[in-house]
Amino acid sequence: MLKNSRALKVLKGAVFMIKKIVLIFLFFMVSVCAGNSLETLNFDGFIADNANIVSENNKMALNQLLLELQEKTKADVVLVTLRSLDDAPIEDVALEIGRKYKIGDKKLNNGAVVLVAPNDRKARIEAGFGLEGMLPDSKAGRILDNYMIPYFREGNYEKGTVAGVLAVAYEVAKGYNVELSGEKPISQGQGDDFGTILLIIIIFLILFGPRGGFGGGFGGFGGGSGGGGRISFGGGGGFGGGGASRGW
Amino acid sequence: MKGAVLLGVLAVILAIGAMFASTYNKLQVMDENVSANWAQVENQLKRRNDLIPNFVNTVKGYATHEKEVFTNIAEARSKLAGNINSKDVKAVQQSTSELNSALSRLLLVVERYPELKADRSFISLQDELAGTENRIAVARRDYNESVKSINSLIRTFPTSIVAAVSGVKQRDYFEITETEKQAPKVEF
Repeated sequence: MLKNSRALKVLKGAVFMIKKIVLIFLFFMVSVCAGNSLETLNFDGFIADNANIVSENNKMALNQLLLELQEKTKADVVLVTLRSLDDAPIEDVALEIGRKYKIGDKKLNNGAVVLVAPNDRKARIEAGFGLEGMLPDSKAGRILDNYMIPYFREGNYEKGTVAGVLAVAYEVAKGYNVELSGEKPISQGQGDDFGTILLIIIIFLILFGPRGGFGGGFGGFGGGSGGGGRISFGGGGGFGGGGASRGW
Repeated sequence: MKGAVLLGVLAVILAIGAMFASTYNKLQVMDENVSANWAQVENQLKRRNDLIPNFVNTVKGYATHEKEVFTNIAEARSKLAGNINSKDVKAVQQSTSELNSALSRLLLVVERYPELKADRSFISLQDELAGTENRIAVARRDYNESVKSINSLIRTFPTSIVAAVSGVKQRDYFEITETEKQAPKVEF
């Protein structure tokens, strides 16, 4: 009996120790998480849609366009939507994303982050050093005012987000004097239509396209929208806080 | 026996020399980094100084009776312009704080003119100004972080000796006091 209780004591002590260790470990984990308030971003192509507001079709269409932009200009335009800003200023969050994921070409630093936080009712377009000339703060503000905020006010987050990203992409393309395929977005927004048309074309190609042509024509596309974020950004990350923010 | 001692002393001297050289190089790189970050702060302050006249003129078009606010901004702006490039962080800090509080008074004035706030060219200028304010904040943070890392390194032994010998000094932080960040009280 005595022996038994001693064993029990030892066992209890061991359990207590383990509990303590687990608690310390948990505390450590929590403090590490608290130090890094940014939500984990899993980029699918150029898009990390944590708030889940863009449909798969539109993601595909946007990714294809943004890949085309990257190939022609080396510029990275990325879209991030967040569930919460965790009370951080949206300017700081956008800057952190640009720097952390090294968006933009390494030498040119021509990256841009379109950030939408629907639950905080805030959006920002952040321009890297290399895009500050083509995408000055006033232009970023105008894109927010004309293409995004009107839709956000109506609660149509997808349309406003897609139209905003398209507007940024076309503005950058214009700055580099290159043409992008696809329709130019207008203030009324053609985001949805654009994506739908593209999807129809893609489905058509998959269903009816000749096997050989399909593989060749799709080679460049796979990296962009195939999922799993096989695209790598340019390794730049030179951001200095340029851009514009809006609330609604 | 004497030769071995001599060799040992030589080895110690060599080791200390190598340590000195690598610390010296590290300090030089960090010091240069601080200077580069400071240049960025000054660039953005200059950029804001260049934007201010346009901004003020647009506001003047709507708010004609706010002479005092405009005068305060003009004075603070030219004082800051004189301090930039002086390499005197504290002087720049002082005049930046003065300009900031003059500007925040102007922004309070703006709130009273809804037509001004709807003016397209005003919105553009306001975006440029807000963007530059944010750039200043980012540059300031980057600068202060680089100051923090060099200052804490200089304070440790044996780096402190290397720093003292090679003349690398602790750098000043660029701080805007908390009260300046808040909008000033409106007095009637």
